[in-house]
Amino acid sequence: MKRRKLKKVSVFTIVNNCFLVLAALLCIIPLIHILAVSFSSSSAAAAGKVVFWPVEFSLNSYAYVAKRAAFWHSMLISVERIALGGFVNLVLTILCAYPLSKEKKEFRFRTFYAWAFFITMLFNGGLIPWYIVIKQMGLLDKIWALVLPGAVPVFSVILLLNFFREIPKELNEAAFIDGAGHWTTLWRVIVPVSTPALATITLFSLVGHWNNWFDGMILMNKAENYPLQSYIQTIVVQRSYSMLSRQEISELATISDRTLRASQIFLGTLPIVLVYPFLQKYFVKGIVLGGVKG
Amino acid sequence: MRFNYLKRAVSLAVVLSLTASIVAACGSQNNTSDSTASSSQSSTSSVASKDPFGKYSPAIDISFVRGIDDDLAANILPKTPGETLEDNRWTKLYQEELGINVKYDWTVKGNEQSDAYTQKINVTLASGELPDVVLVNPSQLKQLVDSDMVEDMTQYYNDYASEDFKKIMTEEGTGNIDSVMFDGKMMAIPEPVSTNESAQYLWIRNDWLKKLNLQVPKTMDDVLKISEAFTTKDPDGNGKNDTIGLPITKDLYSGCMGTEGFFAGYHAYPNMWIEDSSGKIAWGSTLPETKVALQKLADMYKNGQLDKEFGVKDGGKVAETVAAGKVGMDYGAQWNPMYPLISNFNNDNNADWTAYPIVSNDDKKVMVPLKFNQTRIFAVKKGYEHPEALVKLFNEHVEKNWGKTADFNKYYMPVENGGVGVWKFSPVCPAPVFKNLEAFVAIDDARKSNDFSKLKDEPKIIQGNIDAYAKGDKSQWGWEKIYGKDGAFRNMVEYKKNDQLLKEKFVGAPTVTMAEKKTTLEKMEKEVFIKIIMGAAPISDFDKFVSDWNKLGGADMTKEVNEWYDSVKSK
Repeated sequence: MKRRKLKKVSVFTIVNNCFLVLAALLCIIPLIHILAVSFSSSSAAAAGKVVFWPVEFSLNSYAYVAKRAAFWHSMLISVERIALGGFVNLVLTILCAYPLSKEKKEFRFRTFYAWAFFITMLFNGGLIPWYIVIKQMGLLDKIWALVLPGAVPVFSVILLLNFFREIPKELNEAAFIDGAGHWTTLWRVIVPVSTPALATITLFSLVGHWNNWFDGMILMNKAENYPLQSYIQTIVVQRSYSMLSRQEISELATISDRTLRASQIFLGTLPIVLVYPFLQKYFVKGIVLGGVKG
Repeated sequence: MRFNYLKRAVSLAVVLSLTASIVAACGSQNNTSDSTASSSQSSTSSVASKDPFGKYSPAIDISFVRGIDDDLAANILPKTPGETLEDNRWTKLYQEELGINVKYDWTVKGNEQSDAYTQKINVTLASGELPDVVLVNPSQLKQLVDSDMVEDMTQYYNDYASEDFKKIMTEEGTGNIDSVMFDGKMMAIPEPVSTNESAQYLWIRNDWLKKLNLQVPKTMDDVLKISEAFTTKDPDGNGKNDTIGLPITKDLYSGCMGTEGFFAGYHAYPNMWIEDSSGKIAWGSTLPETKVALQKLADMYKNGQLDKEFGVKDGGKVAETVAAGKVGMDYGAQWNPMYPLISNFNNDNNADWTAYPIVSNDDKKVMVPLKFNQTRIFAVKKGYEHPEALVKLFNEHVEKNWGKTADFNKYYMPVENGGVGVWKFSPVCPAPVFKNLEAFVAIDDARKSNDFSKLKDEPKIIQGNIDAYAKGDKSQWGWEKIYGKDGAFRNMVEYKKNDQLLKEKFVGAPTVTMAEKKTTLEKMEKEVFIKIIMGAAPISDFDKFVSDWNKLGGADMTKEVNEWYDSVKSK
């Protein structure tokens, strides 16, 4: 018995596992490095002595970040953003996916609408028109500027509509025979059996909202309104040291040191890292189920 | 069935028309508010005639955009309780004395050279929603001028600029004004650039020199010898062959860990427009002297005196090497002790960095290259009612910091707020271009006469920092290195006395070809030079680079620059 089991390990499995372990390491190593830097003394970090283990262990950077009101304020905005954004994304995705998952005989213009959505995945208006539209809507500097422009994530809609199609028609028919309309069917029958797919698209939208820094930077007119990732982006940018203005020279002494940056980056990734394991069990299932049928 | 479709069609039409009307309403609302704003402005324009400090009554509004740098966010604002960016001692001053209300359309985190600011300004420019005054760089100004979006400031500057402000603008030459000149018109007001601040010195660790029995360099050969000794003779005494001679970055030209001072030692002045032997303007990188210096750098690389990986390391990365105590020499500006040298001192209190004058490879005098780079230009939106208000802000800033009614301790670096630079609260910050050098001279005179009581304003604050260092406050190390007894500025005094400052010759607004080709050419230049230094390309590739450079637009650029130069000279 035992021998047989051993024999089953093929070359492919070994190579494949090695490859996957390497890929996993590539993802986790930078994070470990950042963590080690954040727990090191700033002089050791400045000299580049820290690799994967803190040198001259210190909690100074965390003590400093704890006092940095701007950091926590940005985090609050990010939390607000994912709460609003996640909810709006979820509701609108469901509402879009349901009719689109119907057959043509039930929903005559299905193809037209499907294409209308699909085209937005291929083409977009470009940066300036995007900015002007949001400005003219009066959204600049408001939290809704980060939520509404991406309110319908088309990729998630397609994922979900494919998932809806996999659901046995008998469920629908039974509901209709019992007198339920489309609304009741959707919320009482379809949504409850789609949790894996819903968890997946929620995860997508949460991660997307959490990580997006560019729109925050462009659409917010005051630094106080930056979400966390826009805030972090401004502390990690590279500087050029050729030709400094007087303003920049006076700023040099305050170049935030690496430990401080590392601790803020780490704290910034922590919430999403914590959410992942809880949603992951649905994740694989959701993607596979939704993706089988084109 | 039919009826059903009709119903749907009608409802669709209703939805569409509703959306359209909402959008239209938004648009028209904006328009009306714009027009009321401008009409209220026009009714307020009652001003005394051409007084540089004349007060508007009733007060007028002026809107800016700006970046909030780390100094402001983490240093100045926390130490000035009760003051904000919109409401502080400077905005109050402008309000009370000039009747000008300073507003900000938007602000970003990061300084005005940061990516965040550039991105934001680009969408602002492209969408045409300019504030009354916009802070731009030369190429952005060119765009604005080309699309006729800014006011001609010539007359306002001539009529309203105060004597003190005009003096500062031209103290170091005509560059500040030339850089915003388009067809003989001054299209914006720049903050005066202080090119002498970018002069390079040779920073050396004295303790390493002493340890290896070396002398302060007098010629480039000495520099090469020191570089070799610092590489091979284990100056840090850890028994490992882990030090390098000269730190340089992938940017090559840089205010710290730079190469300009090294090139200058061979009378080569890359990356700037200089006069060649025939009296014509040429791009310094293409002249034969540059080839000689490149060959020397390539030799140093071959002998392990340069970082093997410098070609991929930016300033921040190379600064780690400095902090780790792997280098003992650095070509850089006066501010180098503030960054990155202090990180070396923090790790090793023996690190005794001192600035020495850059040296020549022969008996010909070494010239110190001063590149001209205007990065802070204030342009006024076309149609703004009071373009002269901007000039008045400049006047007032100069007056309150350095003029007759100056209150330095209130408006520049107030001691009671920990000496932070509150001058940054002002949207415009012109300053005398030689003020730091003058501060050093004042301190030095006081040192010689041993009487520090006469120091006031900035020199006094600086001396306070130097005293704090003497009493053991190690965070003030940099001040001692810049303004102390052997401070960097002592060399600037010499540079000036010996007439060693070589100013960039082209200081005009970007030419047509420059706007198109300059970035590409600069990129090519760096690639070729780095390859030559790393030995990946033979030195003979330099000649190919020169001909490529000329072919790809360099020749046109040179022609335009010379036309500009002739037109300025003839004036």
